[in-house]
Amino acid sequence: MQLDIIKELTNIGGGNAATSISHLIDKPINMSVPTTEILNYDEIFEKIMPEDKMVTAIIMRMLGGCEGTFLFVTDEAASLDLINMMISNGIEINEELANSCIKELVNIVVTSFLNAISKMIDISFISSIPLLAKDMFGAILSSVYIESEQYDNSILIIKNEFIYQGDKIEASLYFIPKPGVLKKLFNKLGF
Amino acid sequence: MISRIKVGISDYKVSGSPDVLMTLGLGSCVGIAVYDPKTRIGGLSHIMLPDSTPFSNRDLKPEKFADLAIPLMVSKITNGKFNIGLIAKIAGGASMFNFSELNMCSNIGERNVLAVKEKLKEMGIPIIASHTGGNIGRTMVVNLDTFEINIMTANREITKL
Repeated sequence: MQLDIIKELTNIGGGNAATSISHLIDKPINMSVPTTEILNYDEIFEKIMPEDKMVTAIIMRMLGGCEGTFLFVTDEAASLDLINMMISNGIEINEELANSCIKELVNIVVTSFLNAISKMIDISFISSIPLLAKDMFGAILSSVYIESEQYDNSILIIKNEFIYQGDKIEASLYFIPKPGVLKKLFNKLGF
Repeated sequence: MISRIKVGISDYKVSGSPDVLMTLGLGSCVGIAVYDPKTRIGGLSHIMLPDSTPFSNRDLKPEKFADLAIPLMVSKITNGKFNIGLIAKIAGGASMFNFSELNMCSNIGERNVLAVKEKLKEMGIPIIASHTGGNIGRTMVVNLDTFEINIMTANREITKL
């Protein structure tokens, strides 16, 4: 039941986020049905992505009424695709520009995700600036969960995947709540 | 036959020469390799947190914590006998993002490394090599024939410990 509520919220937030990416790159972006599943680390690395796969990861910290972390994970090819779609032809792309582009994309994705949620729930969201790291999926995922005080071996995965022209883009948005945050959200919603 | 044995998060494995123990994607977690050069038996532990005491009222997995995992693994290496002549090598304990930029750094990687060092010192096991800190993820591959360790990082560089 609670997982269904999270799924619905993620669906609404993710839908709005997909629309905002579409505006940004001027191409249609869709979203698959969100994942809301409790998995242990071994299952995550088996089902979602191997722990030593290199990824580009961007995090944004949430403060205020909804403490937690948004984590955007993409691979090198997909992040290049997204960047190329964001930047007009003729502009030379260096690493700095590419990094700042992808950070801005995540900023927009997260903000539009939150806008959709805050229309339903009376809650204030304050988000940090985006931070970027390029490293192994396992190192990033475990570190972000631990930093969010999620110490259990089985963790709740809340994730959206984006689809472009029928193909899955290797890009996912995770939300990692601090302990007690989901309960607070359920209370606000009257459950 | 050489077996390549994978160690997951919050777990440890013990084996003997010529096997290879490996753990992938250490971020703020720490990998601890302990080895007995006489028997050529060694173990690799992948801990996630420094100290189990704040969690004592919960059903906890000892393999997750530096203070519990290391003694358990060591007693398996020595078969419960005195741990004389053991040596250790450690890696990990990074801070993957510059969390301090957000003013909300718990330094969990650093605290993990400190707890591991403290525990090994308490048990009289010297750390003969380490590769810790910074903001990079690490994969650790331990050769139990020689106790040579390869550390692979994101830039595909291999460091020998």
